[in-house]
Amino acid sequence: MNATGNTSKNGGRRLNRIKIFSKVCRFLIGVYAGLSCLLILACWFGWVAILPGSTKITFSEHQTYTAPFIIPAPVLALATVKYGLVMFCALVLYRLLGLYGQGKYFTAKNITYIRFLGYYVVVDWIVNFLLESEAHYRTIIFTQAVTGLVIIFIAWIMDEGRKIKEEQELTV
Amino acid sequence: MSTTETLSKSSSGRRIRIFSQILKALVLIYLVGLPLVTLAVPALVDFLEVHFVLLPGQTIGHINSAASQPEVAPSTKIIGALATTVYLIAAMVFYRLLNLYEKGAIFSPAHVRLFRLLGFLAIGKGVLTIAGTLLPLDRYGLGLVLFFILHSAWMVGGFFGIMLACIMDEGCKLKEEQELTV
Repeated sequence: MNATGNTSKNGGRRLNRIKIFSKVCRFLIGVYAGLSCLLILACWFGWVAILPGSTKITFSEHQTYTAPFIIPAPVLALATVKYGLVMFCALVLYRLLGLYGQGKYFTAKNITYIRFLGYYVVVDWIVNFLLESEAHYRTIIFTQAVTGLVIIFIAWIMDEGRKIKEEQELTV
Repeated sequence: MSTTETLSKSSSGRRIRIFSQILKALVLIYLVGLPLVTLAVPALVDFLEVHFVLLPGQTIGHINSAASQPEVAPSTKIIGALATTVYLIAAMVFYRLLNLYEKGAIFSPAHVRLFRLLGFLAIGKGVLTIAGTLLPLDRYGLGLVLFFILHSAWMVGGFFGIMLACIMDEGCKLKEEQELTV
């Protein structure tokens, strides 16, 4: 009886932690999206002047610029795609965390969002490779691509959890 | 029946098992295969221009080349070595996790423990990487410190790993309840 009570108390504390974590993360995503927007506007409209003097615009390891007007058009296009994807991904993450905040852990929507995040990481890896190629650095680091595949793998595992949950709901 | 219930024999269960085998092979190639090739075939390494990246932006020249190496600050070397150690431990923990999935277990306390450990290791790696990158502050300026922290994939991944561990724990409870249902 006591052990059961402790378990449920621990479970409640854990769920509460997830809720708090999702709230904090959603706030940070908001801040990050705001900063990313600023960066995109800085690139397109030359607002970089409002940022601190030592600020440099960095798109990838070897794509760093001090002024927006010296960025070549292909790099600007790739950077726009990259940050566009970042913004979309931030939105997906925001919604996923919203579902976690509501206590919905194993739903079809969650799995779709997680899978999308995996695809995003792989696409971002390709865009980064193209950006580095523009700087004549053809560096291939597979860590990011493997991370993307691992996220898709996690989505499959969560899908198994969803099936268990559905089975449980159907059990009278 | 134990809590480490086997994966369903459906196509998704098979898919998870096959994919974990592939990922295990990739981890082995990365941890054992690549260092062996580096030592055994120096010509290939020189041809591919393999570099050892201590920390972002801190590349130590060709591994096999006798050419002079660029100056790296001792503090950066220590942080880089620590970050690499954490990275290797995380790779081993990940391998153990994949082993469990390959055996067919999906929601168990062992998974939760390993996921949580992976999360903490990723946060550790993130902190070390940020410390190593921001150490020469003149390179980036303090204005972008927050952006750097939020942009650290390791930190974000670490926190999500811990959160996933909590969700996996919920999955464990569901599994236990399912097993108790007649």
